[in-house]
Order: sequence, then structure tokens, then C-alpha cells
Amino acid sequence: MTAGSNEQAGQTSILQVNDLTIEYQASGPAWVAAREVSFEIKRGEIFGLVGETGSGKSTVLRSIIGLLNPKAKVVGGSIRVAGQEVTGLDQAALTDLRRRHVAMIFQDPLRALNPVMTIGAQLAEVMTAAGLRDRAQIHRLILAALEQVGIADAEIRLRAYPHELSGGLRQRVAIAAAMIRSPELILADEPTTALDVTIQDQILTLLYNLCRDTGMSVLLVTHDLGVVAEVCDRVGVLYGGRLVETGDVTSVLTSPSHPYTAALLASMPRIGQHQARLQVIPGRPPTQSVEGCPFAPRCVHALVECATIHPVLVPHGVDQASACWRHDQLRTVLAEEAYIG
Amino acid sequence: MITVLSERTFTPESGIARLPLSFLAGLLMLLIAIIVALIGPMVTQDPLELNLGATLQSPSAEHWLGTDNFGRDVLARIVSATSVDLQFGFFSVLPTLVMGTALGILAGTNRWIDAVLMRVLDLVVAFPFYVLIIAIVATLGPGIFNMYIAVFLVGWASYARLVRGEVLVVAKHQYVEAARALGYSRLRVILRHVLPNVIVQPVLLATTNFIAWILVGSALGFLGLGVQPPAAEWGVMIGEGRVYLYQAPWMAIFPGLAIFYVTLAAILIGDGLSDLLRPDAAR
Amino acid sequence: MDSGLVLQLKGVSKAFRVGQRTLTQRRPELRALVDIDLKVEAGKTLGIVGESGCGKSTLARIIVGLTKPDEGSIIYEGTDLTPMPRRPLAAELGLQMVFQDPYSALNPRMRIGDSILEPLLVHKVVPRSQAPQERDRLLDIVGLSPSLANRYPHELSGGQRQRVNIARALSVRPKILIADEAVSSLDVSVQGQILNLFSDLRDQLGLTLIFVSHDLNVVEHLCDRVAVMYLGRIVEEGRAAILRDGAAHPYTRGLASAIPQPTPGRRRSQPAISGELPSPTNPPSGCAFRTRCAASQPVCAGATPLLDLVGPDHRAACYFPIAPHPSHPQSVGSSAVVDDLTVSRSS
Repeated sequence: MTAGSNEQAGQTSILQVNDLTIEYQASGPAWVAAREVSFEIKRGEIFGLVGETGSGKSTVLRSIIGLLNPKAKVVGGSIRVAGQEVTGLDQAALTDLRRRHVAMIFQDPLRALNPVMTIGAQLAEVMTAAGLRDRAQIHRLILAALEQVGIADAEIRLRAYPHELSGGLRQRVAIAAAMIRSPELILADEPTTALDVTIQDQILTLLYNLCRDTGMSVLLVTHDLGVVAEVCDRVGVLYGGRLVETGDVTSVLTSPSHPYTAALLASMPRIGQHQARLQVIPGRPPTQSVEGCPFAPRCVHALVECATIHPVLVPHGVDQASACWRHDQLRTVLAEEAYIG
Repeated sequence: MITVLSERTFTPESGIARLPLSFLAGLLMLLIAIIVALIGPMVTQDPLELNLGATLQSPSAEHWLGTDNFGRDVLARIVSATSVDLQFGFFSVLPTLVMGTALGILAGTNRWIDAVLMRVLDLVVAFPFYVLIIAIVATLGPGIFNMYIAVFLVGWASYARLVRGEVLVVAKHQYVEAARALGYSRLRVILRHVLPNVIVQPVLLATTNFIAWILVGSALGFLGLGVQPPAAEWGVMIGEGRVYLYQAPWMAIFPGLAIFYVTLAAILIGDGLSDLLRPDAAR
Repeated sequence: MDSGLVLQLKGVSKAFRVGQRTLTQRRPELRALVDIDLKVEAGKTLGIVGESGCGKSTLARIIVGLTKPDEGSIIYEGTDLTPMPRRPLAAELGLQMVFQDPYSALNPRMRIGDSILEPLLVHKVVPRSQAPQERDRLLDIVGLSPSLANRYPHELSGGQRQRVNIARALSVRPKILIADEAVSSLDVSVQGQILNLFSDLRDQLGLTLIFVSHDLNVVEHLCDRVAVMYLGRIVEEGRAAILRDGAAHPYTRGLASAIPQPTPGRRRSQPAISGELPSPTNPPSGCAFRTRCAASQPVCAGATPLLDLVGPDHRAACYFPIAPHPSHPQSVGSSAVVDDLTVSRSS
């Protein structure tokens, strides 16, 4: 790709991940956390990366902002943010990336906020780190940010310490801290998993509205397909370190093109759905990273070849891609499987 | 609030191959020291025999580690002292470990005992450790018996505090609640479910305390408050050797090395033990 | 009416004092449970739903006997348990609990086989010589291979540990099993397995199941009846179908609406319920939910509404209960109720 087309690509896509492979060094065989992961996020889009524990979703997220576990390494592929390659960046360049382009929200806001600083001080610190000096201006920006995330009585809240706030408020503060620099991409690592349902709903609505209003993009990592359905424009499904399906949310959820997606949808209990027993996926998520399809051992549609065929995301339909070589044959079966009752 | 657990399982290796090298090395060193303490005195010279014609002699074929200011064989004295010091270490650590752990568990499970115990603990811990020991021994008079009294009055405190803290944490774990819900007696809950889960820290503390007590014994010996001359004890020997440090450095150096050796053994054991005692050490 | 009842709670209340002791003030009181009435029929499943701070875990502990209530009575199979000076062993009475955190609920220093063997031996459920077989039988019932008996908890996965917890609870042959967020810590694909296990056990062993959860989807799937809790009170109660056909209490509606469903096109511009949970030590007067409720009126700040019939076998504690809709709970009806919520509603 020439520099020119990189730039062009950077105009419409804020994030391009290509063939990303990440390994954990361990005594013994390396554990491949992510294998040949490729996806793209356009500007202004909310992209959901969904998978269970061990699927590699957090690892992929952290590699984008350079926050990988010290034992993990990117061993292949590329990550481009706004057209710029970010794997292998040195510390100074990383810091610049985090200041200007990418921000992150963590699952546990209590751990992401400094317990001995008031939230006003922490938000101010973000600004001074970005180079602002005018205290009056900083103050105004902070108040505006808090209001933007829906915190009433902002003046009073500024003086509060993180542990004095509820989980929902803390997460709003974390979002404010992330947004205050007007990043182009926000990485959200299960931002609502630790919150109550009604608060989760509030935070997700907030994120959704903020995106639409400001045009920034979000990479939302979650294990909950319901969250994906309600907030995301497009989705990528991870299993055993591989992307097994991507596409726009409506297509993927109404006609899943990978057996794992279909099985996941089928196994979720839903109000109004009448089943005596849930369709479950037998077995457990993989402990080893494999060459062939990682889902094959648990897949009811698996054939002998599935263990050795190299899974590749193949586009189909308007905006969908599946790593299952049988997706064409299984099309109707999968759609039925996903929605029983 | 809710963390989703990984479905990965974990299979460990087992058996002696899994024992950490440090643990085995330390154990071996300690074993050697014990053998020396038991058998040594039979094969060395008399540690008390004065030989005023051969004082302050440097190491030679006849006296492998030299002689001290009374002409006594240094090697024999070190070997004799091994038994004294090792015994003091063990017999200080074991009772205080048991006492302290028991009190700690009582404090962690009973509010009233806790209130009383914590005040006593604060009192004991408020005094600098050595000051307290020395004060007690100085008041009661020097000698091994009074040393032990000082040890038992002071030594339980660190275990009690440690164990109490662990008990408070463990008591909140759901398996303790489950044990209560399953109708187990209080005693069973404490012995079978609480104790095994709080014992690791105090045992590790005990390995470092073993050395600490030996050093206390040596310090008291050095000050003349511990084992009384002419009995051999490493600290006493260092005290005696201090005066002759330029003329006969071997008088102080070799007992010092002996202390160093046992310290190293204890540290290695403690290190290895800490890995060993955790069946759930995360990979 | 009471013939099929295996458990009944009347007027159960429980309060805690929280915070550090000071010289001058009494520590604030947290009313974890206020005036709880519950009826559980033999062989049925009751779901207790609520978010954090609603008191559902305290309720679970009171039922199984780990905590004593301050007021009220717990009637088990016709016997009032409360006046007994020391609550008899829950195990002997047949109430057992499965805890949320599968790891914390197992003694890390005991092999899982021993964790299951211990209650068998302590309570002499079977003769000593038969205990190992009984243990293997229990492992089998919960879908685990008896060869796992020698493993330690950390060697098992989350789903497997939870199965061990269930086996241990079943060892004393309880009549009532209380599951406190028993599947919340598990991966989605494993949750289904455990939920199926629960329904199988209920069907095969005739167990009465009390399922405490924050997840309405799970509760509606598994339970016959449901009770919704908010800040220590039951605000709605009835057959599980009310979650599908239209709850009467605004909170239940909001909760059902807020739960993410994997059906695309459900995006809202406003959250289902705005505002923060009030402090449990200082709840609003009258109806505790009024600070976040779109339909709140001045009368809601007065006397606390009590549970009242709003339909056949359906009670709600609200002065303005919503009439049930025959269509989806996510219907226009429910969002019309919540659409005019403003972000900041203060008491």
C-alpha cells in the first residue's frame, strides 16, 4: 500500500487491524491469544468485539493502545490508527497516540481512577498533560465534560473522591476523562460488566449518544450479544483467538453465518422465548490455540476437514464475513438455530 | 462486582520433582547442621578445656579453626554451640507459633476476645522488640530459662496479629459460609476450613523467626545476658572474639559464618516453602 | 391455601448498622429488608430479582439460616423457625444454598471429593462405608466424572466448580435449594449448561428452587414465580409470565426494558431508568423508587405503597400500577412510560 492510499484509508477508517497475531511467552509452548485477526472500524462507528473469556478480545483491544501484558507480544500483522502504524511504537510515540487519538475505558472504574485524588484533580491532570495551562479554561472544560456525560451538580462532584461515587458515576467520570481530549477512537473494555443493569443501560445509552453527537468511534469489547445488539453498528465475533464472523449487527444477529454465533444466540435465555431447556454448547472454550477451526470440537456441523482447514474470513452478502467454509451450505440451518421459539 | 471466570483448567505436575530447588537445598543445609549438632561433640575436642599455653593460635592442623583467648578449640566450641543455638531457635519458634496462631484464630472469630487481645497486642508491639527482650531478661537475670520466658511473653504477638488478619479475610469467603450453612460445628469450621487457609503466612513467618530467635540468643549472649560462659554459644563467642578482632579474627569470624550458614538455610527453606504451600499458585 | 407451601416468610425485616463507631453519633442504619412476605410452594421455582442493594442476598441468607432476621417469622413446613434460640442446623432442616462465586465457595485446600464427602459424614446421610459411592453418585448427578474427586478447586473450570457446589449442597438431601447468583460468574455458553442442570434437578428430584438473580432473562426462563425487589422491599410479585406479558410496577418494566436483548433494532435515545440508586441508609420517603419514576406523584412521597393485587395472582406495590399489555414488554406502552424521564430527579 502506498503512503497516499494509507492516508485515504485513514480518512474513512479510524482503525485497521490486519492479520494481527499475539502470543504470550510462557514456559513451554506459546499461548496464542489472537490469531490472524483482521477488521476495520470506520469513523463514527461503534464496533463490538464479542467473545467469551479466553477469546482474546481484551488482548486485541490492549494491543491497539500498547497496554499489553508484558508477557504478550505482537508477533505478526499490523494495527493502523488514523493511517499510522502503531505496533512497535516507542514510548514517546505511544504517549502521543494516547494523548491525541485513542482513549480507553476500563471495566472497573474504581481501579482506573486514582483513589487519592479528587475527580476534579484527575480530570485537570489529563488537561495539563495535554499541554493546557490556563486554569480557568481547564475548569470550564472539565465542567463541560461532566455535563456532557450527564453528571448533575458538577461543581460539587469535582471535589469528590472516587470511592465516594457510585459505580455508574465513576464510569461516567472515566468516560469524561476519556472524552475530554476529543479522541477519535475510544476503546472500551467491558465498561458495563461490573454495573447494575439499569446503570449499564444508562452508560450504554450515554456512549451511544456521545458517539452520534461527536462522530468519534468506539471499539466495544463485551461478552454480551445483547449489548452488541443495542449499541453497536458492526460486530466481530471472537472465538479461541480467531475472528469467526464480522459484519453489520442486524445481518449477523438475524442471519448468523458461523455456527458459533448461531449457537451463542441459541443458548441465551430470552424473555418470551419458550423452551424447557436451553440449547447449550457442549464442552468448554479451548485451552490450546489451534491451526484449524477453533470451534470445530464443539460444532454440531463440523466435518473432518474442519480441524485442518485454515479458517479465513470470507465476505458475503452486503456486509458480512464468515470464517466457516461451510457457511453457504449452512445458511438456513443457522438462521433457524439461532431463534428457536 | 461480577467477574466472569475462565473455563480453562489446570493440571499440575506432582511429586518430589516439583519441590523447588531452594527448598531442598535449604533442607539439606539444615539437616547437615542438625547432624553436626548431634554427632559433632563426639568427634571434636572438649570445648571447655582450657589450654593457657596455646591461646590465640591461628588455624592449624591440630586446631582447625584456631584457639581462643583461653586456648579452647574454636571448632569444638562452634560445634557445641550449634546444638545450643539450634535448640533455642526451634523451641522458641514452635511454641510461639502455636500460641500466636491459636490466639489469632480466637481473636478473628470472637469479638470480645478480639477486643482484649488487640489491646494486649498493641502494648507488646509498642515496645521495640529488643528493648523488651533485654529488659525482661535483665530483670529476671541471665540464663537460658529466663530467655525462654522472655521469648514466650513477646514472641506470640506477631503471629497473633498476622493470623487474626488472615482469619478476618478468610471468614468472609463463601466456603466458610457454606460450611456454616451445611451445619458444621464451630470447631469443625475453624479446624477444617479456617485453619488450613490461614496457616501459610505464620509458617513462613516462623522460618524467618527461627533465625531471628537465634540472633536474639546470640545478641543476649554477646551482651552477657544469655547463655553464660564458659558454655559455648555463637553470640557469646562473637562477644569474646570482639576484643581480639585484630589479633585473632578467627574467634569471631567463624561463629559469624555459622550464623550466616543457618540463616541461609532458613531463608531457602522459607522461600521454597512459600511456593510449596500454595496449591493455587497461579501460572 | 397453605397446603402446598413449604416455606413462608411473614413480615421479615433486617437492618444493619454501617460505618465506623464514633463517640457522638449512632452509626447510620441500613435497612436491608423491610417487611418481606413470601410464599413458596413445594416443587416450584421462585425467582428473586433485583439489582445491588435490594437485599436479595440478605434474604437468601436469612432463609438458609446464616443470619437471623430482626423481625418477622420464617415458617418452614408449618414450623415457625424464628423463636428458636439457635437456629437448628439448616442442613437437618433441608435448606441449602449454592453461592455465587464458584471459586470462593470451595475450600481451596480441600480436594473437591472431600468437600462433598464431608457433609455426608458429618450428618451421617449414609453409612460411612457407603459414603464414597454416594459422593460419586452426586458427582454423576451434576454431570462430573467421579475421577475429578481428587482435584483441587483451582484445577477446575468455573462451570465445573459450580457443579461441585451444587453437588455439595445436594449431599444433605435438601428440600429447598437457594441459588444466590449461581450462574452470574459463568461464561454465557456455560451458564446454559448450569441452568439446564438446575431445571433437571428440579424435575428429577422434586426440589423447590429459589433462584436469586439480577438477570430477568434467566429468571423468566427458569422460574414459575418471581418477586422483584428494590431497596429492601418486594415491589412486585406474581407468576413469571408477568415479566413477559407486562409488569405492573414501573421499576420492573424499566428493568425488563433495560436488559440487553440480542435482537437488533432496540436502540433507544433514553435509558429505561435514569438517576442513581438512592443511598440505602437514607432512602426516599414513601415509595423508594419515586425519585427515578416517570409516573411519580405527590402521594408517592407519603405513605409507602404496600403490595396489592393488580391482577389475578399478581401483586405490586405502587399507587399507579401499569395495566398489563398483552404484547411484548418492550412495547410502545412501556417506553411511553419512561420516555419523559429527566436526567436529574432529586427528592
